Amino acid sequence: MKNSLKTSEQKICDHCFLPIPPGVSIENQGRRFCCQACQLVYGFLQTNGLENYYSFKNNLSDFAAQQPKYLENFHWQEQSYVDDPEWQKDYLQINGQHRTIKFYVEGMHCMACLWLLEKLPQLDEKILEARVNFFNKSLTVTINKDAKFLEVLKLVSQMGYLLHPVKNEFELSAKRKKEERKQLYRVAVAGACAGNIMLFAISLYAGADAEWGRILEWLSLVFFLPVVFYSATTLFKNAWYTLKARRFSVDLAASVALILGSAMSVYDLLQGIGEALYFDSLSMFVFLFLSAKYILLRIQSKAWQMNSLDAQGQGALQIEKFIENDAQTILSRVESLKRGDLICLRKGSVLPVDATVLEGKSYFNFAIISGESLPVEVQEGQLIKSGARNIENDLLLRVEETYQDSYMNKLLSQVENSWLKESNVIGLTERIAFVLLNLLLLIAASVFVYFSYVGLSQEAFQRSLAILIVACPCALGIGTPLTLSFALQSLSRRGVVLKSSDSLLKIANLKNVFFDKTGTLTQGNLELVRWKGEQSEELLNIVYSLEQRSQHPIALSFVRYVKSRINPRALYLEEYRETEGVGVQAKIDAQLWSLEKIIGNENLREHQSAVQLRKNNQSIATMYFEDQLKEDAHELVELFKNHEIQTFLLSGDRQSVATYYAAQLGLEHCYADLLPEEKAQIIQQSKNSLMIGDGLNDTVALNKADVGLAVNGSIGVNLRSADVVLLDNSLKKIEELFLLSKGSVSLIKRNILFSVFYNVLGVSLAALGYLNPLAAAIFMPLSSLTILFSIVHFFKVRTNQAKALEQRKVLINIQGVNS
Amino acid sequence: MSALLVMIPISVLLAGFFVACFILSSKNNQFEDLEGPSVRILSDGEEVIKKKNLDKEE
Repeated sequence: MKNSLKTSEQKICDHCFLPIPPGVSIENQGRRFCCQACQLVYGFLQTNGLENYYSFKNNLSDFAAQQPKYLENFHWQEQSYVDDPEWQKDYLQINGQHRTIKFYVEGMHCMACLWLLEKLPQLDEKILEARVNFFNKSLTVTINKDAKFLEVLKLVSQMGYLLHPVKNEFELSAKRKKEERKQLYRVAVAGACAGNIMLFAISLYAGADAEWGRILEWLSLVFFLPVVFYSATTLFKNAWYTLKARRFSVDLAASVALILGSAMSVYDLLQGIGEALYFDSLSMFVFLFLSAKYILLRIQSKAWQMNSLDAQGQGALQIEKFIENDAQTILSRVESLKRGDLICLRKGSVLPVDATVLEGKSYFNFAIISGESLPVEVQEGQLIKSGARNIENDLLLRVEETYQDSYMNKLLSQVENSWLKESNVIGLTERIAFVLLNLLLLIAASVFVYFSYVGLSQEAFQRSLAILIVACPCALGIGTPLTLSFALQSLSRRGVVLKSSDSLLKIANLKNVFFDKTGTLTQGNLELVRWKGEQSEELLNIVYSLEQRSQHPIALSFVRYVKSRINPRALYLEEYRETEGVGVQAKIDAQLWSLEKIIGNENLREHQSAVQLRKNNQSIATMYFEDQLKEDAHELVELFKNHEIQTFLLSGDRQSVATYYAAQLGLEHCYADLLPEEKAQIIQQSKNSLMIGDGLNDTVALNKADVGLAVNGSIGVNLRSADVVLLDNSLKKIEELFLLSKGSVSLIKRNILFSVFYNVLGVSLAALGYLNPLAAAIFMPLSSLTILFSIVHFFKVRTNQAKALEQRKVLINIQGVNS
Repeated sequence: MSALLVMIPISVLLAGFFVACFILSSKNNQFEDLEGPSVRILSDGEEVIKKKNLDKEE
């Protein structure tokens, strides 16, 4: 098993400040980098005088390290739709000579990114303005009439970001934004009024009486009216809906308290008693309650935006289509392809529609469809489903299905539809709240009836109102949503994106975890782990020359290995031949060299592949390859086992290979040779399940699990099929997610317990007459403040811990670099 | 005490004014991005000097 020696000598990348993985050596002019992307961006910044980026980044307190986005086979032609006037109709805003498009920036992770992106106008005069919205991770670019947006995309990609255009008023449309804005107004009005009422209340509590006392009381009423008739209307509306649906929600409890309390206060004021005025506490309550709801709303709409934004990028793909009777091709949008059209699929591109091969032979990667990561050869006349990626040669194909009806799109829309279905889970919170409120109304009513019957009507009013006031639904109304929204926020800052807070609750109650193997628990590549035999710079060059032309995973692995050891030189090859399933061979300086796959070697283990280097058919060295486990895999499995959660391995690979990995990690159950649908079936049979997999080819399985977690770099497809998406490949984040879920749920439970205890105590005291309404009004906000404080404290502690850990790690890395 | 007769209406007007300001700035999208502006002011507005590198590694 691979064991990376982490000494204090670990080097960090000069661009992204992340540690350089062992075995990787990319250097340029004395600077070290962890990947080609970092090197390129560094070079770009140097050339353009933007080195201040690094000093800026270092001075930031919230240090976030992330590698830049980089696409190796990026086809700029496919992005040229950004300048197509037809497409622009939905995306472009015109302002005289200026044209503006808003983009979502993939790869933006810290404030230094903001600084960098807003320097765009200085890099190119045709870019007039570049404005970042850090909350949305969006960039709004304005260019003048004769510029092209494609140039903007190219420039930004050199900085290490990918731009995804955002439709004008899409989804988070004008309507939705307006709703959000209205909510904010409600909060603002409630806050302003509550604040003023509190000011008056201070004087009243201090003993203002007679003339001024009365004036202040009436003023309180004046300020209270907007709160009830404007701000609280959402509460009443929601309460009404849930009442009609015979369900229960916290809004209902809040509304009842509000209505009764206001009625009582107004009555008291009109009667001139002046003892039972609760405008201050009620308005404060409305303000707090609405604020928490608004925060939650913003967090959720942000997650929504990220999802729908990427959906846009999909349909705007272009492909080369042959015009009838002509050998020329035009760029045509994928959505407009019709059956029978002839298209040219270039090497490296993904096939967007189901099509038949007419001419040419090539290798395709069917990972999305079958989970098979090794390339498969395709022949003329063969029907290929959409989603497969062309690896080797350009091909001529005939379109068989439109984009809408093709395999990939149908699969995605299926998943999307099931995802949009409402989840009717009446949570623990609501159940308790339901019981509480009913009990409360019962008690208040019976106290009222009893005392009225006995003839003490004043007492009846006092006590029943005190009961209603002191009972605080706010722990449930504010506490739970606030905890969840903080948790979601904290997680998304760490690169874990949840679509809904439901998932958080489900994760805390896990019983079964299903792991996909390739790409999830393992790196997904074949790495050269052992070189048995001779090795020298000459031999490495030979291997490099033989393998650099091939796209086979083993070839790629060889190239990586050689590059990490020396700066390879490509030698001149004669009679080069690549044989599928066997290997490559060529003549170098009249000697016949070959790299051939071998089987049945006594040193070869089940999960490995072996290749032999031969000179004139004499074996020189044997190299062993395996798909290695990710570093944190073991820890993650241990964590689940410690919490008595059953662990499963689901793999499309052979039984012997799957068993090996399962044994390595200590997974309790292992299923192999599975098709994606079979994986889903297994998951369906278990309860409280979490599926951790690759967003691309585990779509069905991810959907069937109670919580589906996609481990992958780009957001795109994943957010449609998974409930949770990891923005980097680190399994450690899953640990964090699990621990945070558990922590949040226990916090919620604690708060509920406190709330129950407080309510029982408060209501009892009120019913027994020991608590007058005034005292009740004081205690009620106190209880909600306590809960609020406990939540803020919990997350503050965690954030501080995480920050301290990060800074310590970076310091160690920086100090550890000697020369 | 009679000063209150003047103070209170003024404070009411003031409160109304601030709420109106809030609503106006909210309409102008000032609350969309809360972290960005705080960092934007830190940058000195340095001019980007394009260097013509002798040895480009592109």
